[in-house]
Amino acid sequence: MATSAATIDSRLTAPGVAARGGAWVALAAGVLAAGLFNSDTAAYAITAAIYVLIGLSLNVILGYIGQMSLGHQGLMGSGALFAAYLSTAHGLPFAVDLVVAGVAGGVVAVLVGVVALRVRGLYLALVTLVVGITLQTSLFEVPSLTGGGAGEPANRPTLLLSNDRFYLVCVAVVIGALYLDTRLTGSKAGRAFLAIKEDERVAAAFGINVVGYKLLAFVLSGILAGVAGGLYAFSSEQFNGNNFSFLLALTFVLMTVVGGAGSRAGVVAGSVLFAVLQTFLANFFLFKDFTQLFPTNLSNNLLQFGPNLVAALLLLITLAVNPRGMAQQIEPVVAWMRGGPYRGADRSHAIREGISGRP
Amino acid sequence: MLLASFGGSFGVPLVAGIRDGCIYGMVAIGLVLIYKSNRIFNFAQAEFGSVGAFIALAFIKPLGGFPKLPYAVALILGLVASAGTGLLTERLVIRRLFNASRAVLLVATAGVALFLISAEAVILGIQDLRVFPRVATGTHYAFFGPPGGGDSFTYGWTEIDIVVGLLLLGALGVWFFRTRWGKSILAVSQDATAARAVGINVNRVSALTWGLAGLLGGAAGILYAPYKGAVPPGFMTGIGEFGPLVFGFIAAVIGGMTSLPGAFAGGLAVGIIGDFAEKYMPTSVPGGEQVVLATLLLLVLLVRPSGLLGREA
Amino acid sequence: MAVLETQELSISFGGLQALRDFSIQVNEWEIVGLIGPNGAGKTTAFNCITGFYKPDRGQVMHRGRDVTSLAPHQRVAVGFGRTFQNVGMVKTATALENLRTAQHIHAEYSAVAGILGSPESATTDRGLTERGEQLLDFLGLSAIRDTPVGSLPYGQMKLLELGCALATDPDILLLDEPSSGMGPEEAADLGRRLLTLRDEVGLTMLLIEHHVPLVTEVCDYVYVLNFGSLLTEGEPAAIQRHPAVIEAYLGSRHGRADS
Repeated sequence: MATSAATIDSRLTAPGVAARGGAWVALAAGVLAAGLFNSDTAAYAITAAIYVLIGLSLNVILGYIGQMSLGHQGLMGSGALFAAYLSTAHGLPFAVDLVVAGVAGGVVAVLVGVVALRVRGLYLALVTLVVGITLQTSLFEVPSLTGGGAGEPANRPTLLLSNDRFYLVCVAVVIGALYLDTRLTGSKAGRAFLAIKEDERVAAAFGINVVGYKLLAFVLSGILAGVAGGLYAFSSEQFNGNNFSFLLALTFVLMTVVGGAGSRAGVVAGSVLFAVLQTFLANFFLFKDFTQLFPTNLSNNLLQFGPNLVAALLLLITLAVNPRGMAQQIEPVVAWMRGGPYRGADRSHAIREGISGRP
Repeated sequence: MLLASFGGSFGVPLVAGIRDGCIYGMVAIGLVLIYKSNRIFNFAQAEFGSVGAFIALAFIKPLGGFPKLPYAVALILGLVASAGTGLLTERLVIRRLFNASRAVLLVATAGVALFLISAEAVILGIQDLRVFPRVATGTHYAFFGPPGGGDSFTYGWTEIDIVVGLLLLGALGVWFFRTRWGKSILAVSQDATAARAVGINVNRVSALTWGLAGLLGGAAGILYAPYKGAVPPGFMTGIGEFGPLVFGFIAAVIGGMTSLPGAFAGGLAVGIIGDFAEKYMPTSVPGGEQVVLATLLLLVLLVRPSGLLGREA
Repeated sequence: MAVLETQELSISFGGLQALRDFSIQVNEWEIVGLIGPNGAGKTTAFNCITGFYKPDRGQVMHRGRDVTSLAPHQRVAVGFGRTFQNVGMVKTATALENLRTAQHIHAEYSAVAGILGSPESATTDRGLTERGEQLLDFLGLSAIRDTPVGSLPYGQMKLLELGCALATDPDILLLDEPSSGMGPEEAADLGRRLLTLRDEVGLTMLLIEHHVPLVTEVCDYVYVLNFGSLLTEGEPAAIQRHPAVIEAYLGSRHGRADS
């Protein structure tokens, strides 16, 4: 997909190489600094890493095969549930729990995918919405799995008790996911997804097994969401079904679209932005002590729900004036960092559109 | 009373189901109206109703400096607010995205829903739950409950719900098939280009459709709120449970997504099945009602995608 | 033995008989034309042959093997390559990407191996790129290698689509109006290319075509379809003079859109 961006301009000058190298170092330093600054920023950074995984997961459905999911909180929750359950009830080690979380997300996604193969477009959105909420109200409330109302604990291993170390694990998982995602879009599965998104008949005429690849997309998305859920359970050190509500699913869709469905860099940026909105910004408001400006109730509410309000506004603005999302601005920068020339208006990708594209 | 003759514990879920069904039916009709005119699912449909209910509540209680008004007047103002929310959504979001793909419009309506829920939460908070008072309280009919009382049933409001719901729908039906505007909406929903050719103002009709959808959402909201009692922000969409939005969607799908009477019948079916499932599903299955209805939705979509009652146009 | 043979294919949509007892035969190295007025059922016939529609009755045989029950993507593996009436390509991707995508069945590594980044998948994909570039060269389209397909002129799109069908490495090529959107010169050029493909690559073809000079120039044999049934068949020169054919075409001025 973005392969043309990867072709390195052989006429790169020494300053050009240095500038690009500097940009990469700055990016890496920023990612590390966020986690190592102090325990609070590490907590925000962990949330951001988990959101990035969810964003990449949703991007497979929304951006690559052009379907819709309003139930990703259910996939994420399934991963979180099984990670917490296995770690607490059976004492399995952290790494195994994460793998099982991914498998759980993948299995639930396949079950949704089997239905998805029969229904299309708008109806799929409805199916995922209903399945997501049903998972929350039924599976996530089964007392023997979830430890009743108090929630199932998910204790981190001693080595990862500190937020900064746990953050490094999250970063490693994100890097792994980014690598796989890059391979996906650069190999035949990614090409098949794009063909399916464009027109299923064309995909079939190219010899692509449409049903099989759609299922594959659901499995991959489910695995990523499940692993993200596992990390989430361990980061908050418990599973609580109430955390996986429909609002979360809406937030995930919004951050993917605001970031730019179909664009890896855009989705990563959108996910980080939304995570920052939900954590850092809320605490920033707290620090500023809005109680001096507003009545106490209102400022408390603003802390809790202000980010969602901002998120919804961001979405509506994105759809109205920036239809390809943050990708529209970020893709040229990424192309430059990967060794290409800087093209502000990125014409080569102008026609490639995610779910936010116009017909 | 005819309904009373059912008696026993069987009558409770049936009457409750019809009451719920009227509300879900109204949400479903709103969804179908929008689907027919814009070919999208309006995920903000039920939230129009939350807005109306909270505005009505603000005048009834009163809250936040609103003047205290009689119950009926407050309800009417709530309905106006809901219709206004529908109109604003059309004007500020839908019309701007007129040429966008349906997927974009779908995400946009989900964004509107999140915006309304968040705005409610910011203004009202979720810590102290507001109780929406009933117009008539204390009318318990023990004969609806099992012998020996216990499962008694507040009956007065249910009757009002059913009567108001049916009256509203009847009026809507007459209006739809008799007046010029109703016919215009139908014409535009069949073929916008052809409608434009015969001189129908498609923009005005689009606004009217969304306003009407808002009104239907509002009617559902102010009928649903009193017997739900405590109403958190987003109660019509349903945050940690199925709300009228999801019930309405299932109803609309059962009704075939394009048929107004089908949507209402679907609403009744969903209401009755849901209330029976809630009563008779074993409590060892958490969320039994949701499991039954989700299964029903999947079955309908897989086996008879055109709905049980309608025909895809 | 015939490369492609259909036996009494019939299909109806909601009471409308779109195709009735459609039996044709395409032999090795033949270019066979399928003509008829709009709405005659030509594209429906293509869709039945390539598996996009499931016929109510009848069989599709490839070199004596019954392939009627195979899904479209399975028929590509058997050797059916096709193009569409309205250009079937990934319009958001570049010309080369489309040619790589169209070689899906020749990317002989599992999807999972590709995602995990196995060395074979990288080698195989380099091969796909080379073959894609060869095809661009053959079609004289090397200049548009990295151009998104959606921004190409229609004639170039149709030509590239032919390239995508060739990239599936077909045994029989089914072309749906390959010359639409082309001027007379481009169409003549296309005709020469099709003959080259037949003579040098040894391809067998079935084509739906409206452009009469192209049909007479390249086709060895022609079937005429009208209202879902075969009207007549024969060599192009004879068909052109056939009174029933002239009648069908003149009488179809107010015909429906092709199904």
